[in-house]
Amino acid sequence: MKSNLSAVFAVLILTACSEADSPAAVGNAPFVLPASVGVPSVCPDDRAFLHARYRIAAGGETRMLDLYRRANEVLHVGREPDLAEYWRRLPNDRIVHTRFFDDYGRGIEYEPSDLLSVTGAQNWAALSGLAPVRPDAEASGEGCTALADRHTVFGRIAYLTELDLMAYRRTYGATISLVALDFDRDAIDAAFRERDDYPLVDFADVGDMENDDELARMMAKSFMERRDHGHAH
Amino acid sequence: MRKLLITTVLASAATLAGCDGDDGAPGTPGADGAPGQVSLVRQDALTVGDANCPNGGTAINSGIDTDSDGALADSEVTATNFNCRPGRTVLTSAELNASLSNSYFSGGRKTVAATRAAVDARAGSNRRAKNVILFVGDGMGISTVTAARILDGQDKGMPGEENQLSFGRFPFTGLAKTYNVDAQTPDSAGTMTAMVTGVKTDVGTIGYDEDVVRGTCEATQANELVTALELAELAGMSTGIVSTARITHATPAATYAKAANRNWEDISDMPAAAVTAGCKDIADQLVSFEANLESKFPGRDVDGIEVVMGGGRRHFLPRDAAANSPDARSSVEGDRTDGRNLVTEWQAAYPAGEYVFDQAGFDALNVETADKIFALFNESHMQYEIDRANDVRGEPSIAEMTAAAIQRLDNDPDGFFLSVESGRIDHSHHAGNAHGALRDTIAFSEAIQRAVDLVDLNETLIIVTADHGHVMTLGGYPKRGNPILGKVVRVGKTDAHLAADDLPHTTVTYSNGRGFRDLGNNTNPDASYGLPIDTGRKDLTSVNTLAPGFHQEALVPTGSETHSGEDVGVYATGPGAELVAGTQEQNAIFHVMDRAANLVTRAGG
Repeated sequence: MKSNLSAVFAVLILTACSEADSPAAVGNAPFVLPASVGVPSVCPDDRAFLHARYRIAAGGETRMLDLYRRANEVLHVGREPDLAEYWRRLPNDRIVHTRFFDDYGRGIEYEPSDLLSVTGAQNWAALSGLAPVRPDAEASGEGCTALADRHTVFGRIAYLTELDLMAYRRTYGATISLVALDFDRDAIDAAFRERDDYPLVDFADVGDMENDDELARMMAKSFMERRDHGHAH
Repeated sequence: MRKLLITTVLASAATLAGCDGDDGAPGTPGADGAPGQVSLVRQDALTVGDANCPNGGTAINSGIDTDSDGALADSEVTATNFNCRPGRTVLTSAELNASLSNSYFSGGRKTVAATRAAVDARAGSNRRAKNVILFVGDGMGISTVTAARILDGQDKGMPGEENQLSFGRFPFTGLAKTYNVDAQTPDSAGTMTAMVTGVKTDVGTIGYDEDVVRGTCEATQANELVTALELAELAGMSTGIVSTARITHATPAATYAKAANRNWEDISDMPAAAVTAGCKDIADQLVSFEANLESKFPGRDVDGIEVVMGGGRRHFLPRDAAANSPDARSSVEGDRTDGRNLVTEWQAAYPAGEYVFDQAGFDALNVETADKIFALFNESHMQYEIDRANDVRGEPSIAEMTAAAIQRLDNDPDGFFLSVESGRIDHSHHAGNAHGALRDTIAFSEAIQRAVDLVDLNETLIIVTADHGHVMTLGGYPKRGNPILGKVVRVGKTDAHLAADDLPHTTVTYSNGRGFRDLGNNTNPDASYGLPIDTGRKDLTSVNTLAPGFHQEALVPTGSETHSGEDVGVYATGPGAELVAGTQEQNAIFHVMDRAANLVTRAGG
C-alpha cells in the first residue's frame, strides 16, 4: 500500500519547482524555532557532523525522520518503515546511493550517478539539508540560529543558513518540522555503522538475480514509494 | 522463322549406243519422261537453350520435296546438320555494366574472394594456434551486433547498415546454441562454463558439471571441470583475464574458479554451511589460483595468471575502511568478513607483480617488462563505456586493457591464452537502455580490432562470441539510414510513422523489462532501477529517443529485462577458425580452441 505520507515527504524535500521564487504572502508572523530543538547559539567547529530529527505531518499522519550528516555522507532513517537511504558525494560530484531494507537486512546500491535522474532531487542540498533551494530571504538571528524565513503562495520555508539545514517547511497541506538537533559524533558514526554488515546488491546485477524472490520484494517495496516521475524539470 | 531455299536439279537422259556397222535411221522420239523430283534444303534458326545448340545457331535440313509442293516439310527431311554458335565465355562490360558498377556486386565479389582465400589457406593446413584469444560480449546477441554495427556506421557518417564491426570481417562464422542443461534461456555462469570447459552445465554454477546442485558444496570435488585457462597454464603458456565487469563476475570467474553459486564472489556472500564444507569464494580462488592448480595436479609447477584486469575490488578487501582504495565510492569499500586483504596477499605472493587501481597506475605500467599485472579499477563493475569519463580517477577502455594484456602475454614463446569480456553490454540491456549496450558493443569491437592489429593471425586463433542474447529487437520498416535509436521513419517519408495507435514508435524495442524512461542525457543506464516499471506504449512524440538516457518501450513488465534463448554468433579468424561453422552447441567452442591450440595434449606435460 502506498503511503500518502511518503509521497508528501518526497514532494517536501525533493521538489524545487518555483516555490522559493514565488511572491511572498503577506501578514504572517515571523517563524520562531522552538528552543527545545536545541540549536546552539554558537555553531560547533565541525558542523559537517550533525543529526537532525524531523516530524512529518500530513493528512492526520505523522512520522519521524532522522537525518544524519557526516561530511560527504547523508543517511535518512524513517522516511519509510524499515527503510534507510544513504548517499555519498564523490570527489567528482557524483552521488552513490544505497537503499537499506532493515526488514531484510540487505541493501541495494546504485552506481555513482548524478542525482537528477536517480532521485528527482535537484542537488546535494536537498539530501543533506532537506532544502532543494536556499530561500531567497535575509536571515534573522545570529550564529547557528540564523534563520531565513520565506512565505510563498504555496506555503512557507524556514532555513538555518549557518547549518544549511531546513528548519520548517509547509506546502501542499503537509509540514515537516525540525524537532531535535545534536552534534554527537559518536552517535552519528554509530548510525552510519549500523548497516555496515548488510550484504549489498549492485543494481546492475539485478538482471542476473531474477530468481531472488526477496530481492524482488525489496525492489517492489522501493518502487511503491517513489513518484512516477522520470526526470527533473 | 523458317527460310526455304530451292535448288532445281535438271534431270537429263543420255543414250549410249554400241558401234558395230553403220548407223541406222533415227528412231521415233520417245515419250516425255515423268517430271523430275526436286531436292530442297531448309535452314531453321535455333534459339539459346536448344538441345542441340545450347548457345543457339542454325539447323540445316535437307530432303526431297516428295509432294512437290515447293516446301520441305518435316516429314520430307532426310538429313539435318547443325551449325551451332560457339559458347560465350565472357560477357561484355556493356552487358554487365549495371552489375559491375554496383558496389554491392563488387563488394560481394571481394568478400567471396577473401573467403575463398581463407578457406584455401586453411585447407589441409596442420598449423596449430600458438595463442588463443576468446572474446565474449556478455549479452551480445545477434540483434545487438546488428544495431551496434549500424550505430557505429552512423557515427562515421554513413547510413550505417553497410558498416562492419571488426569481427564482422572475420572469415569464419557460425552459430552457437546457448541453452544450459537445465534452462532454455541461459545465464552467463552456465554458458561461459560451457565455452571454457567443453561441458554444458546448469544455470548459476561455475566450473562444475550438472551433477552439482546450485548453492550446495556436496559433490563438487567429484564434478569439477578443467578450463582452457587451466590447461594453458599447465601447458606452460601465459594466461590473462580481462573484463569490464567485476573480475569475480560469472563470465571471467568461469575461466579460473569453481563455484556452486555464481554469487559467491567473496566469503560474505556464502552461506556458513558452504564455508564449513570447504567451498572457497571466487575472489579467494583468483589469488590462490596457482597454488590451487598445483594441488589439483601434484607434481606440476605452474606460474599463475600473468594478467588480471577488471573491476570488483570489494570482493578482495576486508570490511574495514582502513583498507579502502583512494577512489573508494563507499565509506567501507571491502566486503570480506574474514579480515583478509587479498590484494596484499597477491602482492606478497608476487612481489615482482604490479597492482594498479586507476588510469594513472595503468598508464604507468610497462607492459613489456611487467612480471604480473593485477588491476582492479573499480569497487564494483567498471564503468559503462559511455560513463567512463565520469570515473573519479579514470579507467582504461576495454581496448586499452586488451592491448596491454596482449603486449604482456605475447612475450612468452610458449604462447598465451587470453579471455576478454565486455561485461556491461548485458547490464545496460537488463536496465532496458539500448544506447548503453550498443556503446559498449562498439567499444568491444574496437578492442577486438586492437587485438587483430597486435597479433600474428598465422599463429593466433581469435574467437568472438556472446554467452547469450537479450530480448532487444529491431523492426518497423524504417528507411535506410534512419537513426538506429530513432523513431521509425518509413521509406520516402520524413515524419515519424504512426502505429495503429496513432503514436510514433522506435526501431529498437524490448519484449520485456522495466520499460520506458526519458532520462535525457543521463549516461547511467542503471538509473531506471530507481524508478517504477512503466511498460506498454507511450507517446514518444516529444521524446528524444537518441538521448543516452532514453529507455525503450517494453511489452512484458519484469524486474529487469531478460536474457534471450536464441543462438548467438561465433566469429573466428586464425588457425583453427575454420572449425567454427554451422550451428554448434556452445561447448564446441572449447573444442575448437583445444583442437586449434592442442591444449589438452600440451597440458599433459
